[in-house]
Amino acid sequence: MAVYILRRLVYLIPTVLLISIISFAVINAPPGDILSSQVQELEQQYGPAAQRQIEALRTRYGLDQPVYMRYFPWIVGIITRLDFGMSFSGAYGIEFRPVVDILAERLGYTVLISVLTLGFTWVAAIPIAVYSAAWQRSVFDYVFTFIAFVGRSMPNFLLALLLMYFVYTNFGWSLGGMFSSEYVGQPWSWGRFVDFLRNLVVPVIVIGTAGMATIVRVLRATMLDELGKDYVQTARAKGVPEWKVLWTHPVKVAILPIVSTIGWMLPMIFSGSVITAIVLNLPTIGLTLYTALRAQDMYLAGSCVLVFSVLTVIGTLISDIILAKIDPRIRYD
Amino acid sequence: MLQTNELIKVEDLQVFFHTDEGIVRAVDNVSFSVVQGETLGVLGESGCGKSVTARAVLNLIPRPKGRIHNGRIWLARDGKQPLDILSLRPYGRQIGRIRGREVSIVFQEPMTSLNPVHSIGRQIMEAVQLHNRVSKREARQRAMEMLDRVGISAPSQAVDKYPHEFSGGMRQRAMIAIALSCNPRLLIADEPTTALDVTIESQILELLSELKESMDMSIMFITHDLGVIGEIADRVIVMYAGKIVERGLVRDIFHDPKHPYTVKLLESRPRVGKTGELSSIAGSVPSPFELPAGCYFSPRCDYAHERCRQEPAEIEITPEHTAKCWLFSEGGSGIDAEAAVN
Repeated sequence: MAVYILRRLVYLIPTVLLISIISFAVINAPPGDILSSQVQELEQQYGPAAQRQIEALRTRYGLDQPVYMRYFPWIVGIITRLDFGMSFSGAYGIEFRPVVDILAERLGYTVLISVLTLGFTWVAAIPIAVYSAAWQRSVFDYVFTFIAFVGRSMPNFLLALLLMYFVYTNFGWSLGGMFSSEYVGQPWSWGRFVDFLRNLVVPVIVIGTAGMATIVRVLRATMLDELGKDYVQTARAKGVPEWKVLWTHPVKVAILPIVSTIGWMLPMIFSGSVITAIVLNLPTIGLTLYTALRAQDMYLAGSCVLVFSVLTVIGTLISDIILAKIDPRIRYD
Repeated sequence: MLQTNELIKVEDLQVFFHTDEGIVRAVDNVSFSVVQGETLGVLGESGCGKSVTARAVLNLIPRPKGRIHNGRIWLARDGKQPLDILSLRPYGRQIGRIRGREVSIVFQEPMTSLNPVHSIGRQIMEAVQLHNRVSKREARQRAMEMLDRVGISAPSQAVDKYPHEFSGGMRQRAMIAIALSCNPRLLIADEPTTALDVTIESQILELLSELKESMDMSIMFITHDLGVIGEIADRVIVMYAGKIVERGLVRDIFHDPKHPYTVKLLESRPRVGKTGELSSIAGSVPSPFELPAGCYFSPRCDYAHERCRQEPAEIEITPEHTAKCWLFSEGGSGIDAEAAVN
């Protein structure tokens, strides 16, 4: 097992490198990135007076160089110094900012929201799916099947707006951002923590609903398959109580295909959360990537994609390790 | 109710399946009993209701499609009133104390009857810990004992193996180990050897006979295979389209069959020294949605008669031997069984 994990970790390196090359190339492919347009602006406004400054920028960021000549310093910087380059867009202040600062500020929230969402999705979806399958065509089944379809098909932003409205009218909380206005920029305190949790509830529900609906449908179908199998009858014939039959036998088999989705659930949550992040004003990387792409802020966008892909690859690795642990039929040598 | 030495008695059992095409009378008015220490063979073609009967004994009919419409299944209990299994809630606690402890079952398909993600040992221990107050270690010890008893070598290693690491024959042995781990009084074997090859089949049959003796239990052995019945059964009931058509001691059935269906079944057996084409029963089993009136076998029967439009009663030929056929009622001609078999 340890050897298996180690080997998988080694495989991670070329995968991530390849992704970084492709994403960097794609992001740099269209003309007119933000730095070039700023250089052009300098030229037009100040003409020859700004020539030295322009030259400095050109050489520093390799604007005259082909894409691969810009890629190598970038990736080497990341590997050796954790230097992801600079963000040039004014959205984060007038000055240029190191990308790593922006990521550091947002990565924590992104991972937190994603993990909580994934947890919420699983905790809510699994019992619903199991009981829907066990009491197929019952009222419970029909009600949750309906909710699942609504959850799957309703756009996230609409659900976000509805929930914000509902929470505001019923609890009087005005949601948006990670903190209410009085706690922004304040040091951590109990009140701030409670406020933070309160602001997490709606995003987690909104982002989790679509994934939850998918899991409910998939798990319900695999559960129905498994419930018809002989080994379930064997368990009943041993005298095992029905609830225990359900949770210790078919669930353990039916859950396997769902575990293998953790890998791609994570990026789905990141990207699915972009619209929600805009509506709810959440400081996630999904939102950062979106604004960076619009501004053609190439180092920031490239770094966001890189972070996403690393998280995805790690998510896949985690799901593979869990699968190997719980499914004895998987061989990992 | 129960007579002395009767372990289980099925009375007027009716199990219907409600499908989209209509009602299937899978088991229709079946009565029989299993005596302590005997092996009862239940013989019939696929779809004749023998497996459904077996599952009904444990109240394991798949719901909501299958429904037990009528009947009682009495289970003898030491020093207590017999209990009607069908009066218990199918998912309740009481039936749970009978399943696996008083009555166990081994299914036909060893490849799918074991849970693929639990170890063999865990699947035996589950039954042991459910019905006995034992520690995990004792249960594990018991699991290893059972594996040893059913002839699996190196039980201390086998106990941690998973079903996919076992061959078909070994899996069926493991199933038997699970079924017998709590010393049941009745083992229902639902075609346990059908999916196995012939050498393994005879090993499993031998194992079952031997365990029956040493563990002092009864077996209800369900099969479509006459050879297997001849090898293992003391008494036999023959089923056709959800009804019992003939019952008797194994030698009655083999040497003096009465019902034309049983006679035809015996004729269609391949035998050493018999040359020429194998005879088969003309026609096929009636569709459950278009059952003929009266005797269900009459459309395929050489002796069919006007009377067969009405359902025949079960006629006693000897106290141990009955046939559900007009030929043996008063005024019936009987059949020349001697000629029919040879």
